Amino acid sequence: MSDSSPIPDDGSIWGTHWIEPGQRIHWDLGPRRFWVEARTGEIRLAWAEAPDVGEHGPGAEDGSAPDPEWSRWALPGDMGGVEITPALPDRALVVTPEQPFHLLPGAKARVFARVPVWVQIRLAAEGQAPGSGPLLVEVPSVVLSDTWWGTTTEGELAYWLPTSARLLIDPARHRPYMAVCTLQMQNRSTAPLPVDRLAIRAIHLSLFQGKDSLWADEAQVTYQGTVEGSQIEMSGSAPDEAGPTRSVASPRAPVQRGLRGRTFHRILSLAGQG
Amino acid sequence: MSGFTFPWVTLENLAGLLRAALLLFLAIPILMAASRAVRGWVEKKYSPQQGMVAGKVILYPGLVLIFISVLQELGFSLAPLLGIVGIAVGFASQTSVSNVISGFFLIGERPFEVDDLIQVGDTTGRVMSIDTLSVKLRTPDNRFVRIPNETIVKSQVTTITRFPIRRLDLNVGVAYREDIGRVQKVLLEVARANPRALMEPAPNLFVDGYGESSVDLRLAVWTVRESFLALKTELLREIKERFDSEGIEIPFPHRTLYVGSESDPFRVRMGPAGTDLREASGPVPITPEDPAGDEAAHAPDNPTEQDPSAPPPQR
Repeated sequence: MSDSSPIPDDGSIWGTHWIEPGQRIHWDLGPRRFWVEARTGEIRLAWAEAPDVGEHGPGAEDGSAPDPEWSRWALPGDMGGVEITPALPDRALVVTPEQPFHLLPGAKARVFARVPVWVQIRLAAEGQAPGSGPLLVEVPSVVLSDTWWGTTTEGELAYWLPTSARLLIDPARHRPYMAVCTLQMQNRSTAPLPVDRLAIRAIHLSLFQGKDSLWADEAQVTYQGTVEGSQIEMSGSAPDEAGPTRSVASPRAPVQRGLRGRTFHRILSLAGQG
Repeated sequence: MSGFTFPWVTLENLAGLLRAALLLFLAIPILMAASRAVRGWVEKKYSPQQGMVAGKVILYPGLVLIFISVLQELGFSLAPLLGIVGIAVGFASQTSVSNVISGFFLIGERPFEVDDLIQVGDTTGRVMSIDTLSVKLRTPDNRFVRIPNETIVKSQVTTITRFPIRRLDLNVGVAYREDIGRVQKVLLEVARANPRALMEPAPNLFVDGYGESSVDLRLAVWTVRESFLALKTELLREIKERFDSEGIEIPFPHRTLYVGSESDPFRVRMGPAGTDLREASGPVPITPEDPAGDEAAHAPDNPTEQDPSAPPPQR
Protein backbone atom coordinates (compact mmCIF):
# COMPACT_ATOMS: atom_id res chain seq x y z
CA MET A 1 0.00 0.00 0.00
CA SER A 2 1.32 3.44 -0.92
CA ASP A 3 1.72 6.26 1.59
CA SER A 4 -1.41 7.82 2.94
CA SER A 5 -2.40 11.22 1.53
CA PRO A 6 -3.52 13.69 4.19
CA ILE A 7 -6.52 15.96 3.80
CA PRO A 8 -5.90 19.37 5.40
CA ASP A 9 -8.18 20.30 8.30
CA ASP A 10 -9.23 23.63 6.79
CA GLY A 11 -12.79 22.65 6.03
CA SER A 12 -11.93 20.87 2.79
CA ILE A 13 -12.53 17.57 4.59
CA TRP A 14 -16.23 17.96 3.91
CA GLY A 15 -17.15 16.87 0.43
CA THR A 16 -16.38 14.08 -2.00
CA HIS A 17 -12.89 12.63 -2.30
CA TRP A 18 -12.06 10.38 -5.26
CA ILE A 19 -9.79 7.47 -4.48
CA GLU A 20 -8.05 5.08 -6.84
CA PRO A 21 -7.68 1.41 -5.90
CA GLY A 22 -4.50 1.09 -3.88
CA GLN A 23 -4.73 4.62 -2.51
CA ARG A 24 -5.17 5.56 1.14
CA ILE A 25 -6.23 8.93 2.52
CA HIS A 26 -6.41 10.13 6.09
CA TRP A 27 -7.50 13.20 7.98
CA ASP A 28 -7.56 14.43 11.55
CA LEU A 29 -10.67 15.78 13.11
CA GLY A 30 -10.41 16.85 16.71
CA PRO A 31 -8.94 14.04 18.75
CA ARG A 32 -9.54 11.46 16.02
CA ARG A 33 -7.77 10.36 12.88
CA PHE A 34 -9.68 8.69 10.07
CA TRP A 35 -8.41 6.55 7.20
CA VAL A 36 -10.04 5.44 3.98
CA GLU A 37 -8.32 2.88 1.82
CA ALA A 38 -9.48 1.71 -1.60
CA ARG A 39 -8.71 -1.76 -2.91
CA THR A 40 -9.97 -3.60 -5.92
CA GLY A 41 -13.65 -4.22 -5.28
CA GLU A 42 -13.34 -3.18 -1.65
CA ILE A 43 -13.19 -0.14 0.57
CA ARG A 44 -11.73 -0.05 4.08
CA LEU A 45 -12.29 2.48 6.84
CA ALA A 46 -10.67 2.99 10.21
CA TRP A 47 -10.51 5.60 12.91
CA ALA A 48 -8.64 5.97 16.17
CA GLU A 49 -7.54 8.50 18.72
CA ALA A 50 -5.08 10.67 16.79
CA PRO A 51 -2.29 10.90 19.38
CA ASP A 52 -1.90 7.14 19.49
CA VAL A 53 -1.42 6.41 15.82
CA GLY A 54 1.00 7.08 13.04
CA GLU A 55 0.31 8.60 9.70
CA HIS A 56 -0.14 5.26 8.00
CA GLY A 57 -3.03 4.09 10.11
CA PRO A 58 -3.99 0.71 11.48
CA GLY A 59 -1.83 -2.12 10.31
CA ALA A 60 0.94 0.23 9.25
CA GLU A 61 4.53 -0.90 9.03
CA ASP A 62 5.79 1.82 11.32
CA GLY A 63 4.75 -0.12 14.40
CA SER A 64 2.31 2.51 15.57
CA ALA A 65 -0.75 0.49 14.72
CA PRO A 66 -3.64 1.23 17.02
CA ASP A 67 -6.12 -1.28 18.34
CA PRO A 68 -9.09 -0.67 16.02
CA GLU A 69 -9.33 -2.81 12.96
CA TRP A 70 -10.33 -1.85 9.48
CA SER A 71 -14.01 -1.97 8.66
CA ARG A 72 -14.40 -3.50 5.22
CA TRP A 73 -17.07 -3.20 2.56
CA ALA A 74 -17.31 -5.10 -0.69
CA LEU A 75 -18.27 -2.72 -3.49
CA PRO A 76 -20.99 -3.35 -6.07
CA GLY A 77 -18.80 -1.96 -8.83
CA ASP A 78 -15.64 0.04 -9.36
CA MET A 79 -14.39 2.24 -6.58
CA GLY A 80 -15.32 5.89 -6.99
CA GLY A 81 -14.82 7.80 -3.79
CA VAL A 82 -16.18 8.71 -0.44
CA GLU A 83 -18.33 11.61 0.58
CA ILE A 84 -17.48 12.96 4.02
CA THR A 85 -20.12 15.08 5.69
CA PRO A 86 -20.50 16.53 9.16
CA ALA A 87 -23.64 15.91 11.18
CA LEU A 88 -24.89 17.16 14.49
CA PRO A 89 -25.37 14.54 17.24
CA ASP A 90 -28.42 12.32 17.09
CA ARG A 91 -29.97 13.45 20.37
CA ALA A 92 -30.66 16.68 22.21
CA LEU A 93 -27.66 18.34 23.83
CA VAL A 94 -27.77 19.69 27.36
CA VAL A 95 -25.49 22.62 28.04
CA THR A 96 -24.99 24.91 30.99
CA PRO A 97 -24.51 28.65 30.50
CA GLU A 98 -21.11 30.00 31.43
CA GLN A 99 -22.85 31.94 34.17
CA PRO A 100 -26.45 31.04 35.06
CA PHE A 101 -28.72 34.03 34.57
CA HIS A 102 -32.36 35.06 34.69
CA LEU A 103 -34.30 36.16 31.66
CA LEU A 104 -36.74 38.85 32.74
CA PRO A 105 -40.25 38.96 31.24
CA GLY A 106 -40.07 40.38 27.73
CA ALA A 107 -36.28 40.06 27.58
CA LYS A 108 -34.28 38.36 24.83
CA ALA A 109 -30.85 36.78 24.91
CA ARG A 110 -28.60 34.94 22.50
CA VAL A 111 -26.19 32.22 23.53
CA PHE A 112 -23.65 30.27 21.53
CA ALA A 113 -22.67 26.69 22.24
CA ARG A 114 -19.93 24.69 20.54
CA VAL A 115 -20.92 21.15 19.64
CA PRO A 116 -18.53 18.42 18.41
CA VAL A 117 -19.85 17.05 15.13
CA TRP A 118 -20.18 13.50 13.92
CA VAL A 119 -18.51 12.32 10.74
CA GLN A 120 -20.62 10.54 8.14
CA ILE A 121 -18.80 8.62 5.42
CA ARG A 122 -20.81 7.65 2.35
CA LEU A 123 -19.89 5.84 -0.78
CA ALA A 124 -19.74 8.27 -3.69
CA ALA A 125 -20.05 7.70 -7.40
CA GLU A 126 -19.83 9.92 -10.49
CA GLY A 127 -23.03 11.83 -11.14
CA GLN A 128 -24.50 10.98 -7.78
CA ALA A 129 -26.35 13.65 -5.81
CA PRO A 130 -24.68 14.72 -2.55
CA GLY A 131 -25.91 12.73 0.44
CA SER A 132 -27.54 10.03 -1.65
CA GLY A 133 -24.82 7.36 -1.45
CA PRO A 134 -25.06 4.51 1.03
CA LEU A 135 -23.94 5.52 4.53
CA LEU A 136 -20.95 3.41 5.55
CA VAL A 137 -20.23 4.73 9.03
CA GLU A 138 -21.11 7.56 11.34
CA VAL A 139 -18.55 8.33 14.02
CA PRO A 140 -18.61 11.05 16.68
CA SER A 141 -15.46 13.16 16.59
CA VAL A 142 -15.71 13.42 20.38
CA VAL A 143 -17.60 10.90 22.50
CA LEU A 144 -20.00 12.84 24.69
CA SER A 145 -21.34 11.64 28.02
CA ASP A 146 -24.97 10.72 28.35
CA THR A 147 -27.30 12.76 30.46
CA TRP A 148 -30.98 12.72 31.28
CA TRP A 149 -33.29 15.61 30.46
CA GLY A 150 -36.28 15.14 32.69
CA THR A 151 -37.12 13.40 35.91
CA THR A 152 -36.31 9.93 37.17
CA THR A 153 -39.64 8.65 35.85
CA GLU A 154 -39.94 10.53 32.57
CA GLY A 155 -37.72 12.38 30.17
CA GLU A 156 -35.32 11.84 27.32
CA LEU A 157 -31.77 10.68 26.88
CA ALA A 158 -29.47 13.46 25.78
CA TYR A 159 -25.77 14.27 25.46
CA TRP A 160 -23.95 16.42 27.95
CA LEU A 161 -21.87 19.19 26.45
CA PRO A 162 -18.65 19.70 28.39
CA THR A 163 -18.33 23.23 27.02
CA SER A 164 -20.61 25.94 28.29
CA ALA A 165 -22.92 28.25 26.40
CA ARG A 166 -21.61 31.79 26.10
CA LEU A 167 -23.23 35.12 25.44
CA LEU A 168 -20.42 36.08 23.04
CA ILE A 169 -18.74 34.00 20.39
CA ASP A 170 -14.97 33.92 20.44
CA PRO A 171 -13.50 33.20 16.95
CA ALA A 172 -10.25 32.07 18.58
CA ARG A 173 -12.11 29.07 19.95
CA HIS A 174 -13.34 27.85 16.55
CA ARG A 175 -12.31 24.30 15.63
CA PRO A 176 -12.98 22.40 12.39
CA TYR A 177 -14.74 19.60 14.28
CA MET A 178 -16.97 21.89 16.32
CA ALA A 179 -20.19 23.47 15.16
CA VAL A 180 -21.49 26.66 16.72
CA CYS A 181 -25.15 26.41 17.71
CA THR A 182 -26.91 29.71 18.26
CA LEU A 183 -29.94 29.91 20.49
CA GLN A 184 -32.06 33.03 20.68
CA MET A 185 -34.29 32.99 23.74
CA GLN A 186 -37.24 35.12 24.53
CA ASN A 187 -39.26 35.12 27.73
CA ARG A 188 -42.91 35.89 27.02
CA SER A 189 -44.12 34.77 30.41
CA THR A 190 -44.85 37.08 33.33
CA ALA A 191 -42.14 35.69 35.58
CA PRO A 192 -38.34 35.75 35.37
CA LEU A 193 -36.95 32.64 33.72
CA PRO A 194 -33.87 31.15 35.38
CA VAL A 195 -31.50 29.83 32.72
CA ASP A 196 -29.18 27.29 34.30
CA ARG A 197 -29.50 24.48 31.71
CA LEU A 198 -30.49 24.48 28.09
CA ALA A 199 -31.49 21.68 25.77
CA ILE A 200 -30.42 22.18 22.17
CA ARG A 201 -32.57 20.17 19.76
CA ALA A 202 -29.66 19.31 17.49
CA ILE A 203 -31.51 16.79 15.34
CA HIS A 204 -33.60 19.59 13.83
CA LEU A 205 -30.65 21.82 12.91
CA SER A 206 -28.81 22.17 9.58
CA LEU A 207 -25.08 22.68 9.25
CA PHE A 208 -23.20 25.33 7.29
CA GLN A 209 -19.49 25.68 6.57
CA GLY A 210 -18.19 29.10 7.50
CA LYS A 211 -14.72 30.52 7.03
CA ASP A 212 -13.14 28.67 9.91
CA SER A 213 -15.94 26.81 11.63
CA LEU A 214 -19.16 24.94 11.14
CA TRP A 215 -22.36 26.73 12.10
CA ALA A 216 -25.84 25.40 12.83
CA ASP A 217 -28.84 27.42 11.85
CA GLU A 218 -30.12 29.72 14.54
CA ALA A 219 -32.90 28.39 16.74
CA GLN A 220 -35.40 30.78 18.25
CA VAL A 221 -36.93 29.64 21.52
CA THR A 222 -39.93 31.40 22.97
CA TYR A 223 -40.86 30.64 26.56
CA GLN A 224 -44.47 31.38 27.44
CA GLY A 225 -44.58 29.92 30.93
CA THR A 226 -46.43 26.79 29.94
CA VAL A 227 -45.54 23.33 31.14
CA GLU A 228 -45.76 21.85 27.65
CA GLY A 229 -42.46 23.41 26.68
CA SER A 230 -41.22 26.30 24.61
CA GLN A 231 -41.98 27.12 21.03
CA ILE A 232 -38.87 26.40 18.96
CA GLU A 233 -38.33 27.60 15.42
CA MET A 234 -35.34 27.00 13.19
CA SER A 235 -34.23 29.91 11.06
CA GLY A 236 -32.85 27.69 8.30
CA SER A 237 -29.76 29.85 7.87
CA ALA A 238 -26.57 30.46 9.76
CA PRO A 239 -26.43 33.52 12.03
CA ASP A 240 -24.85 36.74 10.81
CA GLU A 241 -21.74 36.10 12.89
CA ALA A 242 -20.89 33.17 10.59
CA GLY A 243 -20.28 35.42 7.58
CA PRO A 244 -20.58 33.81 4.14
CA THR A 245 -21.42 30.11 4.43
CA ARG A 246 -22.35 27.11 2.33
CA SER A 247 -24.76 24.39 3.38
CA VAL A 248 -23.04 21.10 4.20
CA ALA A 249 -25.70 19.04 5.98
CA SER A 250 -29.46 18.92 6.31
CA PRO A 251 -31.16 18.30 9.64
CA ARG A 252 -31.59 14.70 10.74
CA ALA A 253 -35.26 15.39 11.47
CA PRO A 254 -36.50 18.39 9.51
CA VAL A 255 -39.41 20.35 10.94
CA GLN A 256 -41.67 22.46 8.76
CA ARG A 257 -43.33 24.83 11.20
CA GLY A 258 -41.37 24.73 14.41
CA LEU A 259 -42.02 22.49 17.34
CA ARG A 260 -42.70 22.49 21.04
CA GLY A 261 -40.04 21.11 23.30
CA ARG A 262 -38.57 21.44 26.73
CA THR A 263 -35.63 23.77 26.44
CA PHE A 264 -35.37 25.20 29.93
CA HIS A 265 -34.91 23.35 33.18
CA ARG A 266 -37.53 25.62 34.69
CA ILE A 267 -40.24 23.98 32.61
CA LEU A 268 -39.44 20.61 34.09
CA SER A 269 -39.77 22.14 37.55
CA LEU A 270 -43.09 23.72 36.65
CA ALA A 271 -44.37 20.35 35.55
CA GLY A 272 -43.30 18.86 38.86
CA GLN A 273 -40.61 16.96 37.10
CA GLY A 274 -37.41 18.71 37.87
CA MET B 1 -74.37 -57.27 -1.53
CA SER B 2 -76.21 -56.66 1.72
CA GLY B 3 -73.60 -54.23 3.02
CA PHE B 4 -73.41 -52.69 6.47
CA THR B 5 -76.38 -50.97 7.92
CA PHE B 6 -76.35 -48.21 10.54
CA PRO B 7 -79.78 -48.19 12.15
CA TRP B 8 -78.96 -45.15 14.27
CA VAL B 9 -78.10 -43.09 11.22
CA THR B 10 -81.22 -41.25 10.26
CA LEU B 11 -81.65 -38.37 7.95
CA GLU B 12 -82.09 -36.11 10.95
CA ASN B 13 -78.89 -37.37 12.58
CA LEU B 14 -77.03 -36.96 9.36
CA ALA B 15 -78.14 -33.36 9.09
CA GLY B 16 -77.00 -32.76 12.68
CA LEU B 17 -73.63 -34.32 11.98
CA LEU B 18 -73.26 -32.19 8.92
CA ARG B 19 -74.09 -29.03 10.83
CA ALA B 20 -71.65 -29.99 13.59
CA ALA B 21 -68.91 -30.61 11.04
CA LEU B 22 -69.65 -27.30 9.37
CA LEU B 23 -69.48 -25.55 12.72
CA LEU B 24 -66.13 -27.15 13.49
CA PHE B 25 -64.53 -26.58 10.13
CA LEU B 26 -65.97 -23.15 9.39
CA ALA B 27 -66.67 -21.44 12.67
CA ILE B 28 -63.33 -22.21 14.31
CA PRO B 29 -61.18 -20.75 11.51
CA ILE B 30 -63.48 -17.72 11.30
CA LEU B 31 -63.28 -17.28 15.05
CA MET B 32 -59.49 -17.53 15.02
CA ALA B 33 -59.24 -15.05 12.19
CA ALA B 34 -61.52 -12.64 14.05
CA SER B 35 -59.44 -13.06 17.19
CA ARG B 36 -56.23 -12.33 15.29
CA ALA B 37 -57.76 -9.28 13.60
CA VAL B 38 -59.00 -7.83 16.88
CA ARG B 39 -55.65 -8.53 18.51
CA GLY B 40 -53.76 -6.79 15.71
CA TRP B 41 -56.03 -3.77 15.75
CA VAL B 42 -55.85 -3.35 19.54
CA GLU B 43 -52.08 -3.89 19.50
CA LYS B 44 -51.66 -1.09 17.00
CA LYS B 45 -54.01 1.25 18.77
CA TYR B 46 -53.06 0.49 22.39
CA SER B 47 -50.38 -2.00 23.43
CA PRO B 48 -49.28 -5.58 22.71
CA GLN B 49 -50.56 -6.68 26.10
CA GLN B 50 -54.02 -5.26 25.57
CA GLY B 51 -54.08 -6.74 22.08
CA MET B 52 -53.31 -10.17 23.48
CA VAL B 53 -56.09 -9.87 26.05
CA ALA B 54 -58.60 -8.63 23.48
CA GLY B 55 -57.77 -11.54 21.20
CA LYS B 56 -58.35 -14.04 23.99
CA VAL B 57 -61.58 -12.39 25.06
CA ILE B 58 -62.86 -13.14 21.54
CA LEU B 59 -61.30 -16.58 21.19
CA TYR B 60 -62.13 -18.42 24.43
CA PRO B 61 -65.84 -17.58 24.79
CA GLY B 62 -66.21 -18.25 21.07
CA LEU B 63 -64.69 -21.70 21.45
CA VAL B 64 -67.04 -22.49 24.33
CA LEU B 65 -70.03 -21.39 22.25
CA ILE B 66 -68.94 -23.53 19.31
CA PHE B 67 -68.38 -26.52 21.59
CA ILE B 68 -71.88 -26.16 23.09
CA SER B 69 -73.42 -25.72 19.65
CA VAL B 70 -71.65 -28.80 18.31
CA LEU B 71 -72.90 -30.88 21.21
CA GLN B 72 -76.43 -29.63 20.66
CA GLU B 73 -76.25 -30.46 16.97
CA LEU B 74 -75.13 -33.94 17.86
CA GLY B 75 -78.22 -34.36 20.00
CA PHE B 76 -76.76 -34.10 23.46
CA SER B 77 -78.92 -32.58 26.11
CA LEU B 78 -76.71 -30.07 27.85
CA ALA B 79 -78.77 -29.46 30.98
CA PRO B 80 -77.83 -32.63 32.94
CA LEU B 81 -74.36 -32.56 31.42
CA LEU B 82 -73.73 -29.04 32.56
CA GLY B 83 -75.13 -29.83 36.01
CA ILE B 84 -72.85 -32.77 36.71
CA VAL B 85 -69.85 -31.46 34.87
CA GLY B 86 -70.39 -28.06 36.39
CA ILE B 87 -70.16 -29.41 39.92
CA ALA B 88 -67.12 -31.50 39.09
CA VAL B 89 -65.41 -28.70 37.26
CA GLY B 90 -66.33 -26.28 40.00
CA PHE B 91 -64.49 -28.32 42.60
CA ALA B 92 -61.57 -29.05 40.34
CA SER B 93 -61.06 -25.58 39.05
CA GLN B 94 -60.94 -23.47 42.17
CA THR B 95 -57.26 -22.70 41.59
CA SER B 96 -57.82 -22.01 37.92
CA VAL B 97 -60.69 -19.65 38.64
CA SER B 98 -58.53 -17.87 41.17
CA ASN B 99 -55.83 -17.53 38.54
CA VAL B 100 -58.32 -16.21 35.99
CA ILE B 101 -59.62 -13.60 38.43
CA SER B 102 -56.03 -12.70 39.38
CA GLY B 103 -55.32 -12.31 35.69
CA PHE B 104 -58.05 -9.69 35.45
CA PHE B 105 -56.50 -7.84 38.39
CA LEU B 106 -53.12 -7.91 36.64
CA ILE B 107 -54.62 -6.59 33.43
CA GLY B 108 -56.50 -3.87 35.29
CA GLU B 109 -53.67 -2.79 37.55
CA ARG B 110 -50.96 -3.17 34.90
CA PRO B 111 -47.95 -3.51 37.23
CA PHE B 112 -45.98 -4.65 34.18
CA GLU B 113 -46.43 -5.23 30.48
CA VAL B 114 -45.19 -7.64 27.86
CA ASP B 115 -41.42 -7.15 27.34
CA ASP B 116 -40.89 -5.70 30.83
CA LEU B 117 -38.15 -7.22 32.97
CA ILE B 118 -39.64 -8.28 36.31
CA GLN B 119 -38.52 -10.02 39.47
CA VAL B 120 -40.87 -12.31 41.35
CA GLY B 121 -39.26 -13.89 44.38
CA ASP B 122 -35.94 -15.29 43.21
CA THR B 123 -36.94 -15.30 39.56
CA THR B 124 -36.01 -12.53 37.18
CA GLY B 125 -37.13 -12.59 33.59
CA ARG B 126 -38.62 -10.75 30.67
CA VAL B 127 -42.40 -11.03 30.35
CA MET B 128 -43.31 -13.06 27.27
CA SER B 129 -47.06 -13.10 27.82
CA ILE B 130 -49.73 -12.39 30.39
CA ASP B 131 -52.24 -15.16 29.92
CA THR B 132 -55.53 -16.17 31.46
CA LEU B 133 -53.95 -18.47 34.02
CA SER B 134 -50.31 -17.47 34.21
CA VAL B 135 -47.52 -15.10 33.31
CA LYS B 136 -44.74 -16.50 31.17
CA LEU B 137 -41.19 -15.28 31.63
CA ARG B 138 -37.93 -15.82 29.80
CA THR B 139 -34.98 -15.65 32.17
CA PRO B 140 -31.64 -14.09 31.16
CA ASP B 141 -30.15 -17.60 30.86
CA ASN B 142 -32.98 -18.49 28.46
CA ARG B 143 -35.20 -20.60 30.67
CA PHE B 144 -38.96 -20.54 30.42
CA VAL B 145 -40.77 -19.83 33.67
CA ARG B 146 -44.52 -20.02 34.16
CA ILE B 147 -45.85 -18.21 37.21
CA PRO B 148 -49.56 -18.59 38.09
CA ASN B 149 -51.39 -15.28 38.17
CA GLU B 150 -52.49 -15.92 41.73
CA THR B 151 -48.86 -16.18 42.82
CA ILE B 152 -48.05 -12.91 41.10
CA VAL B 153 -50.93 -11.12 42.79
CA LYS B 154 -49.89 -12.45 46.21
CA SER B 155 -46.16 -11.74 45.73
CA GLN B 156 -44.00 -8.69 45.71
CA VAL B 157 -43.24 -7.98 42.07
CA THR B 158 -40.43 -5.65 41.03
CA THR B 159 -40.71 -4.21 37.54
CA ILE B 160 -37.09 -3.48 36.75
CA THR B 161 -37.76 -1.74 33.45
CA ARG B 162 -40.65 0.44 34.59
CA PHE B 163 -38.67 3.67 34.58
CA PRO B 164 -36.24 4.75 31.88
CA ILE B 165 -33.22 5.32 34.13
CA ARG B 166 -31.82 3.40 37.08
CA ARG B 167 -29.35 4.11 39.84
CA LEU B 168 -26.37 1.83 40.16
CA ASP B 169 -25.02 1.60 43.72
CA LEU B 170 -21.46 0.35 44.04
CA ASN B 171 -20.06 -0.45 47.47
CA VAL B 172 -16.40 0.46 47.70
CA GLY B 173 -14.24 -0.04 50.79
CA VAL B 174 -10.98 1.85 51.28
CA ALA B 175 -8.32 1.55 53.97
CA TYR B 176 -8.68 3.64 57.08
CA ARG B 177 -5.48 5.51 56.31
CA GLU B 178 -6.86 6.94 53.05
CA ASP B 179 -7.98 10.54 52.72
CA ILE B 180 -11.74 10.20 52.19
CA GLY B 181 -11.93 13.56 50.45
CA ARG B 182 -9.36 12.47 47.88
CA VAL B 183 -11.06 9.10 47.40
CA GLN B 184 -14.36 10.88 46.88
CA LYS B 185 -12.80 13.10 44.20
CA VAL B 186 -11.24 10.12 42.42
CA LEU B 187 -14.44 8.06 42.45
CA LEU B 188 -16.56 10.89 41.13
CA GLU B 189 -13.99 11.54 38.39
CA VAL B 190 -14.14 7.88 37.37
CA ALA B 191 -17.93 7.99 37.26
CA ARG B 192 -18.07 11.23 35.26
CA ALA B 193 -15.48 9.96 32.76
CA ASN B 194 -17.63 7.00 31.76
CA PRO B 195 -19.94 8.03 28.90
CA ARG B 196 -22.62 5.59 30.07
CA ALA B 197 -22.89 7.31 33.44
CA LEU B 198 -25.46 10.07 33.25
CA MET B 199 -24.15 13.51 34.07
CA GLU B 200 -27.61 14.32 35.42
CA PRO B 201 -28.86 13.05 37.80
CA ALA B 202 -25.29 13.57 38.93
CA PRO B 203 -23.17 10.78 40.43
CA ASN B 204 -22.98 10.91 44.20
CA LEU B 205 -20.84 9.40 46.92
CA PHE B 206 -22.01 8.43 50.38
CA VAL B 207 -19.95 7.31 53.35
CA ASP B 208 -21.91 4.33 54.57
CA GLY B 209 -19.98 3.68 57.77
CA TYR B 210 -16.91 2.22 59.37
CA GLY B 211 -16.53 -1.42 58.50
CA GLU B 212 -14.39 -4.06 60.15
CA SER B 213 -11.50 -3.45 57.81
CA SER B 214 -12.45 -0.47 55.71
CA VAL B 215 -14.28 2.79 55.46
CA ASP B 216 -17.37 1.79 53.50
CA LEU B 217 -18.38 4.09 50.67
CA ARG B 218 -21.27 3.89 48.25
CA LEU B 219 -20.97 5.34 44.76
CA ALA B 220 -24.40 6.06 43.27
CA VAL B 221 -24.42 6.52 39.49
CA TRP B 222 -27.45 6.89 37.24
CA THR B 223 -27.69 5.28 33.83
CA VAL B 224 -30.31 4.29 31.29
CA ARG B 225 -31.74 0.89 32.13
CA GLU B 226 -30.24 -0.74 29.02
CA SER B 227 -26.70 0.19 30.13
CA PHE B 228 -27.02 -0.93 33.74
CA LEU B 229 -24.94 -4.12 33.62
CA ALA B 230 -22.39 -2.72 31.16
CA LEU B 231 -21.84 0.33 33.36
CA LYS B 232 -21.48 -1.82 36.47
CA THR B 233 -18.78 -3.94 34.84
CA GLU B 234 -16.94 -0.95 33.42
CA LEU B 235 -17.02 1.07 36.63
CA LEU B 236 -15.77 -1.80 38.79
CA ARG B 237 -12.84 -2.26 36.42
CA GLU B 238 -12.12 1.45 36.11
CA ILE B 239 -12.26 2.02 39.87
CA LYS B 240 -9.78 -0.80 40.47
CA GLU B 241 -7.43 0.54 37.78
CA ARG B 242 -7.66 4.09 39.06
CA PHE B 243 -7.14 3.03 42.69
CA ASP B 244 -4.08 1.05 41.62
CA SER B 245 -2.62 4.04 39.77
CA GLU B 246 -3.45 6.43 42.61
CA GLY B 247 -2.14 4.06 45.29
CA ILE B 248 -5.49 3.88 47.07
CA GLU B 249 -5.81 0.66 49.02
CA ILE B 250 -8.85 -1.58 48.86
CA PRO B 251 -8.23 -3.51 52.07
CA PHE B 252 -8.64 -7.19 52.73
CA PRO B 253 -10.45 -8.10 55.94
CA HIS B 254 -8.15 -7.43 58.93
CA ARG B 255 -8.14 -9.12 62.33
CA THR B 256 -6.25 -7.69 65.27
CA LEU B 257 -5.46 -10.30 67.92
CA TYR B 258 -4.74 -9.26 71.48
CA VAL B 259 -3.16 -11.62 73.91
CA GLY B 260 -3.52 -10.51 77.49
CA SER B 261 -3.20 -6.80 77.79
CA GLU B 262 -3.63 -5.00 74.48
CA SER B 263 -0.55 -2.91 75.25
CA ASP B 264 1.79 -5.91 75.41
CA PRO B 265 3.61 -6.80 72.25
CA PHE B 266 2.62 -9.99 70.50
CA ARG B 267 5.84 -11.74 69.60
CA VAL B 268 5.95 -13.77 66.45
CA ARG B 269 8.74 -16.09 65.39
CA MET B 270 8.90 -17.40 61.89
CA GLY B 271 10.82 -20.48 60.85
CA PRO B 272 10.90 -23.33 58.40
CA ALA B 273 8.64 -26.32 58.85
CA GLY B 274 9.79 -28.58 61.65
CA THR B 275 11.40 -25.84 63.69
CA ASP B 276 10.51 -26.01 67.34
CA LEU B 277 9.15 -22.53 67.84
CA ARG B 278 8.02 -23.24 71.35
CA GLU B 279 11.39 -22.15 72.69
CA ALA B 280 10.20 -18.61 72.43
CA SER B 281 8.98 -16.98 75.58
CA GLY B 282 5.44 -15.78 75.43
CA PRO B 283 2.69 -17.08 73.18
CA VAL B 284 3.53 -19.47 70.39
CA PRO B 285 2.67 -18.17 66.94
CA ILE B 286 -0.07 -19.73 64.93
CA THR B 287 1.39 -21.03 61.72
CA PRO B 288 0.00 -23.45 59.17
CA GLU B 289 2.94 -25.75 59.82
CA ASP B 290 2.14 -25.95 63.52
CA PRO B 291 -1.15 -27.72 64.10
CA ALA B 292 -0.64 -27.45 67.85
CA GLY B 293 -0.38 -23.72 67.62
CA ASP B 294 -4.06 -23.11 68.03
CA GLU B 295 -4.14 -24.78 71.38
CA ALA B 296 -0.78 -23.47 72.38
CA ALA B 297 -1.73 -19.93 71.69
CA HIS B 298 -4.43 -20.14 74.29
CA ALA B 299 -2.05 -21.34 77.00
CA PRO B 300 -2.01 -18.66 79.65
CA ASP B 301 1.57 -19.00 80.77
CA ASN B 302 4.51 -20.92 79.47
CA PRO B 303 3.31 -23.14 76.66
CA THR B 304 6.45 -25.28 76.87
CA GLU B 305 5.04 -26.76 80.09
CA GLN B 306 2.35 -28.52 78.11
CA ASP B 307 2.81 -32.21 77.46
CA PRO B 308 2.81 -32.69 73.71
CA SER B 309 1.72 -36.31 74.15
CA ALA B 310 -1.26 -35.42 76.30
CA PRO B 311 -4.64 -36.37 74.84
CA PRO B 312 -6.80 -33.59 73.47
CA PRO B 313 -9.23 -32.07 75.93
CA GLN B 314 -12.65 -33.66 76.20
CA ARG B 315 -15.47 -31.55 74.75
